[in-house]
Amino acid sequence: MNHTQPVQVQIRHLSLRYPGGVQALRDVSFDIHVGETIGIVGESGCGKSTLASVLVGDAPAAQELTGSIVLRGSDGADEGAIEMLGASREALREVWGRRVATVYQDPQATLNPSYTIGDQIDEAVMRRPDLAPDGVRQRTLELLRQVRIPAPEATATRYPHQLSGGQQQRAVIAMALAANPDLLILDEPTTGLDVTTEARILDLVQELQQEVNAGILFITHNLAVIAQIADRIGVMYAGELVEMGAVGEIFAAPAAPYTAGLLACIPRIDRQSANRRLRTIPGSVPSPSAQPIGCLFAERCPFVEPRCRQERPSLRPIGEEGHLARCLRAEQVCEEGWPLDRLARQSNNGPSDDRPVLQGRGLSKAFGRRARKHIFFGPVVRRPVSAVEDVSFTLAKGETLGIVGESGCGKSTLLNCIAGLVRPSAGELVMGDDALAPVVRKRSQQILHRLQMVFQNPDLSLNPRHTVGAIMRRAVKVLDRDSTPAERRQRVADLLGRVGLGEHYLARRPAELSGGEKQRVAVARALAGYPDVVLADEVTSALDVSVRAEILNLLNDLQADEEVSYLFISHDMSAIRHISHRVMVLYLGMIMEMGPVEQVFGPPYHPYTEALMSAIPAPDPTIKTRRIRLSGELPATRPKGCPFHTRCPRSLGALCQRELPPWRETDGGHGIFCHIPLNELAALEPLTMPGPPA
Amino acid sequence: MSVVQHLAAPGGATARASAEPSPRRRLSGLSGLTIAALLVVAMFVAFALLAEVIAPYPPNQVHITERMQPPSARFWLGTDNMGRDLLSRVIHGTRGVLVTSVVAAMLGVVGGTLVGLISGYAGGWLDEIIMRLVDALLALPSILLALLLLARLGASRLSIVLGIGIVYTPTVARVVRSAVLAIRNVEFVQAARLRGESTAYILFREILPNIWSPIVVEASVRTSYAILLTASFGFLGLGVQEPEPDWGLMVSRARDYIQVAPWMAIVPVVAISLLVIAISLVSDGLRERLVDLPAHTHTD
Repeated sequence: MNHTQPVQVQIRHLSLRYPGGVQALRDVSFDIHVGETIGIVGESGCGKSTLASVLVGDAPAAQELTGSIVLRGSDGADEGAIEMLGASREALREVWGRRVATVYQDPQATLNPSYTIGDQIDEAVMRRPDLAPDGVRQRTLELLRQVRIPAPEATATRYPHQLSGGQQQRAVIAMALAANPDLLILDEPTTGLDVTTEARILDLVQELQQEVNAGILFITHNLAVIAQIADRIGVMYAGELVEMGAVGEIFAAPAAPYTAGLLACIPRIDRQSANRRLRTIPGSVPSPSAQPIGCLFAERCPFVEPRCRQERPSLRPIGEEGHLARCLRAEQVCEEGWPLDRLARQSNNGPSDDRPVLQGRGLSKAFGRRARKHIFFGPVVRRPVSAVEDVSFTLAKGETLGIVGESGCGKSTLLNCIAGLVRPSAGELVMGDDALAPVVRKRSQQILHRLQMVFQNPDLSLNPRHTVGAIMRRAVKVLDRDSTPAERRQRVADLLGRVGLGEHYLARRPAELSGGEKQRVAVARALAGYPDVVLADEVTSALDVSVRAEILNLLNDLQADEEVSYLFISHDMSAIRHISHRVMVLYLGMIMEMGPVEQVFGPPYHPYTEALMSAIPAPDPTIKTRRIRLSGELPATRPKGCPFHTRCPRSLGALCQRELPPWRETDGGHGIFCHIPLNELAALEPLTMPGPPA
Repeated sequence: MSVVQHLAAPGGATARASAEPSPRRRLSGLSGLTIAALLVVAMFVAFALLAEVIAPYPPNQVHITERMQPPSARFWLGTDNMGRDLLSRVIHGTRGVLVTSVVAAMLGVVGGTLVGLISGYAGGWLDEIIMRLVDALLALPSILLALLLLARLGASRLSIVLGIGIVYTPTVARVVRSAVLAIRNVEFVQAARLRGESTAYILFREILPNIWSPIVVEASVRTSYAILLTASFGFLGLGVQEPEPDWGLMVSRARDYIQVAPWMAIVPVVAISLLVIAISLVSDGLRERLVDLPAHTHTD
């Protein structure tokens, strides 16, 4: 707790309304102390990013903006204090880029592609009046060193596109630090990055917390990130601050029901959830133009009482000093926690028998062709790029095989090969007893209905011009050919009921559905022809935390009812752990490790799996994870020897560089592709020290 | 503590939540210019439909004593060298111009849409071949290409329609193809492929409904250009022949009298310009109003 430090920014009664009655912020008040990191968390549409833009004095379309934001001088001094709302543009220009700096989600949009990194940071450095012109580049290089960019001199002369996403974000952070800001706003700075890169940026932010004296406002939708990085947390819901307090306090005993719900619905990386079900928050965020008299969360709250709908709760102190919650029954919420899912159906016991429904043997996919310099002669100037190499797997009836890896590891290519959307270069697929043709056009209707797919982006999986009814009727008609029209109507209603949508959805178009509802329709569509296998491509990645939990539960329930098998791709290790029976870890298109979920998530780890798991922030500040960080970036082409040797923290040197590792398997069907003997890998200590039991 | 009121900047973006326009709101809120242009187009359409009722005289009625009269109360826009009322001839000429150019533009749009859909969705060598042909056709000035076609087909209204339709096919094909490329690999199309849908179903039921906006805009742009081309052919004497009232032909005939009776040329020229500009403005308005698909960004 940093309460001994002076206040840097004082935000009072901040409200913002857009034309049309959209209430984006409702009476937000809090302080940011010098050197403190405040985490602001909430689902999309909760006003997090609006808060950030108002703090930098940028709310262009606002109709009504009231309240006060006082930015105090360096170290919280009275001198230089400024009221940001209503300040003149000249006064604000002094503030922008000098005293308040912002890092946004997409570094590519922040960096100007036609200037070098060095020039852009120089420009930011020059805003400081006290620096001699010849000291500018000096300071720039210092900043690049501070954000741990290797070879700063060389990097300064490069253009943004020559850097990886992680390095670009570091450069943006260097730019933000250039003028020694008093307030540093980080708005989802790691959201677009891979887990391994995200981990290293978060490490950097943690180190910077010690080095810079600014107040930091860290905005994210990811509770786990917040748990690792913030001193205090503010939870936002529908434009309102519903809870505020020290990070340990909030994670241990959340007092606002919304916080409790959010924490309850994230799958845990350190253990399997009880009964393979996640707790969920029913309903959805109220319309931003709603003006209810009572609590905004009342409609979704399991603790709701009649008085909750009659009076608006205020932020009031709970328990320890500084812990505030906006709930009439906060003490009870603290004590009881979010209730378990009342709808819990039969549990999903995994595959009922070992007969494989889908088998892949030696699947490979290479893109591009070999080209020589003079067409037929001369040196080879281009080789095919191998995206997937010799992947074999079996999928049993009612089983979920999770496939995990960084982006660019060949997950999606593998799935597209299986779906027949991309023709594999080698290998074969067997569905039950029938061979599967390599491309979807060559597959018969008898086979097509048995293999369906659900996609990542719910906004694009449904044709925006068709109604839900039309989409579902077509799927049933095509995938279940023998049915009569009456049966089809019944089936459509059944399927929608199965995914929790009523008949009134039939006439709606995708634009009228929320992301979670769209994904439900996509799942229902995939189930139309009683499939044996559903390919799930990052189906939860584009969804908010609470919706993600609902979809994961839905997939689990459907598996228990229909014995459908899933190939579940995700970069989210906790979702993989939650839903999978077996897990495949891919790196540069090759299987690094495969086995039952509990064994993959415990020693012996493949060094890559170990690093992936270590990179994932735990959604609980009490969990301490052994820190293993991968150096460098994913290579563009697969290196000789072990594909992972260029980044492996446990590389054995020459052996790994020269030879492909052996595939070593334990009795339990757990295989690891590594030169290091299994017993040595097994001797490594577990990655996470588990937190308190749930 | 200060309380500040910020007023919305005019034309500022409204919040995301309310940005989804309902069909009704799509039509309201058109700019004044677009509405004025729509009224002009409506006026010409009324001319075309009701020429016999609106026009003060039959188009070929000769007032032998009143040749080359400037605009007057009796002949609002004056008369030509044969003493025919220019206003009546312009009104009666509207039907020919509108029908020819609209049908020709539709022909080009339908042809171009088919070519663009097939080329964009097929990809590979078929796309290569089609697009090189399209490039070759686009390399020739459209009037020259149309003239070549007319020379083969002979001068008639039907051949003008065919000529303009063929000339505009490659232009439209390019536009449609790029729209198809943007969504051919979008998830709902892939889902249709995984269901085993036929190519025709995917093209016409999954893709086509999502690229209506560029096609509609293209159709209106093509129509306005087609009017110019139709008038040009009339001017060159390749369209209908005297005494049919044709705008291009009227300009052509007026050339000989430009010194003594400039209104003979000015009246049909103004009619052509007015119609072309009005249709362009309407298509601009359409372009702004038609909402496209969400951006097709892909991760991984």
